[in-house]
Amino acid sequence: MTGNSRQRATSALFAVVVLAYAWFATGSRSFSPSAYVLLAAPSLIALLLYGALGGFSPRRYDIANYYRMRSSHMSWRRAAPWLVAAILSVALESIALALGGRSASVPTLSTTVDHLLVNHGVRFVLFAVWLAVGASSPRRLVLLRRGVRE
Amino acid sequence: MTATIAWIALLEVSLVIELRSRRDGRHVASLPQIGAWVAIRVLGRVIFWMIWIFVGLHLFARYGIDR
Repeated sequence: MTGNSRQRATSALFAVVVLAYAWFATGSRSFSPSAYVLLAAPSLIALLLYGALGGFSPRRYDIANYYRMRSSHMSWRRAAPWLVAAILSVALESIALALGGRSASVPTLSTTVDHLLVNHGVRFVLFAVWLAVGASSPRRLVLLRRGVRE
Repeated sequence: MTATIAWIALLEVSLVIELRSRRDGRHVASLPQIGAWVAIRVLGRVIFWMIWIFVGLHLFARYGIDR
């Protein structure tokens, strides 16, 4: 087995383990202790790894420069569409919360999403996406440390 | 019902913005670029992780009504 194919096999095995964990974790009952523990475990691993790699250190200028490089040519003007979408979301959420939060006619975002979360398959997909978002930051710092450019 | 449609519309608008940023990166920033912009400062990174944990807790440990 060559180095590349071994690395690919390891990545595939890791993905299978993570997806199996996501399926298992999303099978626990809402508000149950196991749901909190199964959520806390990957959160702590990601946070500790990010911290260990220097992600929270203000003296790690290489990390700040890395993010600066990834966001090159950023300006308020280029971010404007996202800011407008965020302001509209906050406005809609505020109105829904002012109306009690669980109003059928003006629901909050979480009440809207709750209808989808009844389904285990949807919870599994969203959990996998959430894990991927959380894993991407430490992964980038690992690549930065190894000097790998994406 | 109207607000539910508004939430779906906002999600679709976000997808359109992201797709537009991939096609025309000079005028519109992508979501990863916004994330990197926020993460230049340590405070931005801390806020990112707080939001990430809040979303996870809210969606996967405290979703819906206790069944």
